[in-house]
Amino acid sequence: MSTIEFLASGIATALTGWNFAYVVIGAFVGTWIGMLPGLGPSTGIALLLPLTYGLDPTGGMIMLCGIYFGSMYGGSISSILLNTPGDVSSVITMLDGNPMAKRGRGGAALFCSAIASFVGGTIGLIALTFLAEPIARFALRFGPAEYFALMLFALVATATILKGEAVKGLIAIMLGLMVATVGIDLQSGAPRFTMGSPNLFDGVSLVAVIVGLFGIAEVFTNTGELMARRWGKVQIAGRLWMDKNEWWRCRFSFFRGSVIGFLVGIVPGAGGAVATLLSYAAEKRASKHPEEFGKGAIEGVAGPEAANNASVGGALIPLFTLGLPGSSATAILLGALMVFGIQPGPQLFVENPDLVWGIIGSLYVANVILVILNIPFIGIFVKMLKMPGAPLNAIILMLTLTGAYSLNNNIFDVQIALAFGMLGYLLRKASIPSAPLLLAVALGGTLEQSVRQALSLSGGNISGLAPSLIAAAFLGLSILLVLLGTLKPVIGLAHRIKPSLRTSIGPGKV
Amino acid sequence: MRHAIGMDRLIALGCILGGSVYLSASFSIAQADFGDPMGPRLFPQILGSLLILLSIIMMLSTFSGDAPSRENHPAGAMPFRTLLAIGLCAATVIAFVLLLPVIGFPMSAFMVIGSFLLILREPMRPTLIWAAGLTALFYVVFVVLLQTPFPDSILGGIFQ
Repeated sequence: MSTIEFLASGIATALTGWNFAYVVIGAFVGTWIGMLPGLGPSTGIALLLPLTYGLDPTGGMIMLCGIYFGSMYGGSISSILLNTPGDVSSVITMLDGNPMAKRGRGGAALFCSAIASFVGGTIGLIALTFLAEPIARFALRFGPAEYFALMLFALVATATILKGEAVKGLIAIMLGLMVATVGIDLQSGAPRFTMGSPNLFDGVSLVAVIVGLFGIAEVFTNTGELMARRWGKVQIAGRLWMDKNEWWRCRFSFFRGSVIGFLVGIVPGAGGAVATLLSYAAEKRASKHPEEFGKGAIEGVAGPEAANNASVGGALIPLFTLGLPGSSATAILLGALMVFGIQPGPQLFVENPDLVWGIIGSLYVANVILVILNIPFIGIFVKMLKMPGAPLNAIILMLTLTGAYSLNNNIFDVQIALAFGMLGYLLRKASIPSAPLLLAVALGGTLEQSVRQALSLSGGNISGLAPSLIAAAFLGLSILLVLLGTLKPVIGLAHRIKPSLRTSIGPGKV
Repeated sequence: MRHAIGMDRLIALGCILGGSVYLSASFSIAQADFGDPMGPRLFPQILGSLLILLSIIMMLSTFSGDAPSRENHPAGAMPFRTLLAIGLCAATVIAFVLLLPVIGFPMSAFMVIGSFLLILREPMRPTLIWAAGLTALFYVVFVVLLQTPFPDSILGGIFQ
């Protein structure tokens, strides 16, 4: 079958019976979850993952992808109206979307966001459709050493590319990898850090980590906001649609953002946040009115929103073809695939074509459904956002607790979720990002097995970690990123000490 | 700024201590054997060492004079009342974990929601209404629709 035939089959699967209902439900619920301040695709998928346990793998993944897409749409709504991003990918939209809303152009900003999301999502999916298999064929050349190098690069890139201090990102990676070592070692059967508890023999539950880091930590953070009376209210005024001038200004932004978003989304670890940042910078550079950015320039909404949704298609390529999540949301999707007993990787298209093309087809369907939902129902969504903050966070809290329990029907998972909730809250207070930690927990086991297999194949020779140009290149890039990230604070300290020494010892002596 | 630096130092210290505990615990893991030159012990030892090293670098960076980065969180120390509220929320979750096997899902869910709303200083009457309504909603979704087998209450089926 050709790619077009596979895609047609996938769309037919998505439009058939209960699968279509799952797409609609997932897209609709995902939009509402994404709208809720403080929640986003990662948290939305994590919270609603337990709802899919009773479904077949295809249906479950279709619903989760609908939630993913829907929450990407929804995140921009709270950014624009509440000045509170749905998640980190929606932060850039807030820069110009909220000023537009304050000027009474909130409807136009939401409309622009919906159109941009549709265009970006469509272009990203078309690229996913035609580029996924070529990348999958290339991925078959990957051995344990290449996998280790690529995963290491993905983790290091995630840690160092995020805004802020690279050292904190690397610490998050280390913490996540340490969590991943808990349990019975697969190769030797030796127990590691289980403290004699049978509940830890299989390691720490990934879902419990997810709901803890992104759900419970979010509730603790929002509790602080509520206690400080910083919970925002919604205002919307002005016409819903974009006028002719706004359409003209955005005519290239939709496509420029889509291309940037897709290309960035392919890179493991980059994700929607980096895509939106790069798109915003590109729009500002290309605009004839750069001084308007930050004050309500519509291109500042159109480009990043297109990039955000296009990055979904890009992020799904490494997930499906290599088993590498491109973002924290796809890390959770990876966990969902494992829960359903599906192992992503180069063979996925061969062994589970119905599942893969069903998911891709459902994303096309979800993309159309979402633009239909977003435009007429914006007024209704806004009313839901007027829900008081305290009951809203009570709902989030109960969703995390029941979600953590329902995975294995084990209260121990709730304890794990609580522990990670506290950890996640502390990490936020210290500005240590949670996304790299989660990615490290998800990838840590495979990373370790890959490096041990690579060394086994080489008889313990360290050169076995770089047997090919690909492995050597990724290892080299990883080392470079680590050095750049860790040397900066050390050099900064040295510069600080040098003048102090000169002052105390005297000129010309240091 | 001073609060931010203090928090960074505290976290760095915590990571140094945690890394040290992890590293010392890793020595009790079995060593490498034939066919597996790395073994189950070496990877954790590398991770523990790297965490300690990175934490030291983070600690040193707080003395370098660079302003710590902050994400979307308000700067400065939190009021005691806010810290207390967050602590009580955590205690509520702990209570849920302890009480779920004893009093069953509906009662423990009602307790969690009600306590959480009271901690956030919601009035009593709306709190009771929200707690009852949300408990019923979660019961329908998770117990009736999803058939999640929550533990039976030791007080019998009355509360399940």
